[in-house]
Amino acid sequence: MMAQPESLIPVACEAVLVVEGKDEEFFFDALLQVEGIRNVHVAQIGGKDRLPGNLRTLRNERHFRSVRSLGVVRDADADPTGTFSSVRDALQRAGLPAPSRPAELVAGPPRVGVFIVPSGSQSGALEDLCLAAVEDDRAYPCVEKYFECLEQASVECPRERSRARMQVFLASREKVDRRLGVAAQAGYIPFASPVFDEVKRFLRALAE
Amino acid sequence: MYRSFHVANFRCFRSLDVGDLQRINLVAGMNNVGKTALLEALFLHCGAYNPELAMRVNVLRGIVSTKIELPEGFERLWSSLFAGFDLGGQVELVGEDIEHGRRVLRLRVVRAPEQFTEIGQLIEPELAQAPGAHVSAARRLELALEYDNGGGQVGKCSMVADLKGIHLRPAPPPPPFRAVFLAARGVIPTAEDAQRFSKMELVGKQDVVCGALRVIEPRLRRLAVVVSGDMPIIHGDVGLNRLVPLSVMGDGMGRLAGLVVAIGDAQDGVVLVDEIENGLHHSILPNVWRVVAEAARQFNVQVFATTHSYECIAAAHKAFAEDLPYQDEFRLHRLDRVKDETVAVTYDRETLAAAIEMGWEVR
Repeated sequence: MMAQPESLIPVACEAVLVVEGKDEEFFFDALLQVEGIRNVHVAQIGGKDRLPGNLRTLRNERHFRSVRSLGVVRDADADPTGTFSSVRDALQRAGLPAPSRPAELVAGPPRVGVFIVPSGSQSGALEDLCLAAVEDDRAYPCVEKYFECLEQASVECPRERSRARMQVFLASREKVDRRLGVAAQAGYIPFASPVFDEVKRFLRALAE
Repeated sequence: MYRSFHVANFRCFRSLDVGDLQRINLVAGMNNVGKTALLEALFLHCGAYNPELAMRVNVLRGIVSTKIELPEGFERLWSSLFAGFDLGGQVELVGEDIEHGRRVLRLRVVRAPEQFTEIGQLIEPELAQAPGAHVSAARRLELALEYDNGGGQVGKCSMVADLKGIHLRPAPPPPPFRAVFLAARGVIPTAEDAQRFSKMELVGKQDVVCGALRVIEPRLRRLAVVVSGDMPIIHGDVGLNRLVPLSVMGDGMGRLAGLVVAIGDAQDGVVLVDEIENGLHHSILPNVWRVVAEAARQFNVQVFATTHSYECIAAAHKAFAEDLPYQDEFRLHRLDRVKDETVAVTYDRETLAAAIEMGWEVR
């Protein structure tokens, strides 16, 4: 039996934050909850490669008409400028307003903003932002030592160094085997850290 | 083949625009949003000068009884065609299509005596000559139809309901192309299907129907029309010692046969199907869509169908996505009610693929 489809956007939703995948959905749900922002719905779009096509589909959603603000969050990866341009292109192809700079909301309807993680000009991903937030944690030096140890032992390290570091850091928590989003919901990411100030400003602007 | 369609003041629509129409168009949406009304509007527009279709769409809905009581009965006869049951309004249907350009059909009800005289030549002579013209509005109602065929020619035709009954004045010219409406409700019109099948048999196209029905019944060897009582009925040979009526084989056989013979009958025209999935098991729906697509191409027919079924939509997408030369011949149009207006949202192959892969609602 075919699974019954679900609406991506709930009834009367006024603000939507589009993220890459399920992990990011959990993460930003946790951050919004901590910030007390209740009116932003987080929608995962099935991966960054699907963003261009899926933004057009998102626009066809029955309840999209009620959306007054739309935010898109993407990892910068190696090229923050190129990533921002590709999101702009996807927005324009979907017939949506496209901002000229990251973290700014362009007038709508709907108002649209793009946040490139970790920040508009830096390469990296959500894990880099989180690692910066846990640098002062007592476990963090142990994470560094672990990778130094691997290097000394000539063990080939994973290519996604930030993701690997974050996994090792999360392995230091009370309950292990958590991905970043679930860890955020469990309270393992210190959202009070100033490294999240910029993304919080973006989320608050989205919620206005 | 329609490319876009505009409806104003018809049934539940104040105004509706549907674009990006392709060979196969599936219409989805919530209850009471106007899916069937859109098919009816298309049916009226296909009929061009023929106001009789306005009666037919009501009969298909079960709105009109055969007995019309005066004077209120006249009002009820056509009021449901007009948005808000407002007989003072004007229905406007505008279709853009590849072969015929932009064609406009307008329907309005004439009640005022001075407007009757304006179309005096259309009225029954004895009534037109009646003292003062002037049959009371309560005793006569006229559905006037104007049709602009896009070539600058505007034709007029009327349906007059009066004490003598219902008359067409003048007799309408033939429509520019055929249109067949398959309603969701009511008895399966087996005799009509048999007549359509016979027409296909006359030109050697009967195997199209037989091949299509093997999607449901692989044992089917041949089809034949058998007159039972006064009624012609399509029968099938499935290797038993006698032919079996299709309707006895199951709702799915009847439904699919009805679809294919309708497409065959509407050569170069339009087929309108309400609740296309009725009687068809979800597992065969992709094959049903392949059959419908193939028949529609073969007979150069454009199909509009409504559905409530997600499985039906997913099956159509699957069938067309795999049909490489023709994969862009399918569109899903969802009708949404936004306050008092109706809006059509169209999914092309890319947006529908994304929605189905992600498990997002499209109905």
